[in-house]
Amino acid sequence: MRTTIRKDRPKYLDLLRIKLPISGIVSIGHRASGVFLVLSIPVWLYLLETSLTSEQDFEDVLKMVDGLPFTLLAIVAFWTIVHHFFAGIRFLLLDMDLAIEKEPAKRTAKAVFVLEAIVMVFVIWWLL
Amino acid sequence: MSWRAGGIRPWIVQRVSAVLLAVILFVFTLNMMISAPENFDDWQNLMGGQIWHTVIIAFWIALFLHAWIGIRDVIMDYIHPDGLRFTILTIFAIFLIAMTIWTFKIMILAVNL
Repeated sequence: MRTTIRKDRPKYLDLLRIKLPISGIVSIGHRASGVFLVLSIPVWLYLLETSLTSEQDFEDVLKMVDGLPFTLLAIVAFWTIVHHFFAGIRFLLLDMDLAIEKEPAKRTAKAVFVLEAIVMVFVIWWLL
Repeated sequence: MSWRAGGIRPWIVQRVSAVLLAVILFVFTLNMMISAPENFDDWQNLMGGQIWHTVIIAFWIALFLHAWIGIRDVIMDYIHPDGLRFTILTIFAIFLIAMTIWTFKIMILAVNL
């Protein structure tokens, strides 16, 4: 299938010259957050396993997650999953032809970031 | 199924698993907000109990499929040389299978306690 693609097609890969529309930012953020979430699976499984091993291990996990390094990781992790969640719902709506036109699609892209910001304020307030 | 396979089936699986993951995540978060486990025994009872035990296994199966299709799409979009693409896909497949074995090990651990 790839052989049918013309080799001389224009490419606009100068990232500094591309002005990505807001829906494009939602989309690339959805990809990046997805990759991050998958790669972080061992961290969550390690914490889950340790927390279920014994009472002492459970307490150790609580102590570990209270530290600053983990709090920072948790903020990034929550941010990525919250973005992936809202952007994912937006994509499901787009699949159903909802808000598929340019202007409504722009509004739902903005809504993703607004909802994300609101949730993250609560998450950070709760974590700190 | 070829590792280069595209088409409608992965597209549907990706969306069905997405809905399942979103619903479980939402309910789990709500449950944690309403009644967070206070201590080890509470946590152990919750995770070892029939309901969450089943839910977590369902969550993992959906996550496995969702992660596989999602990462596969990303790899196919950005990595073009066939050999490299196949190598990375294979490493990722081994990673996901290892994570699956680990998840089931944890679930067995949770029940036996």
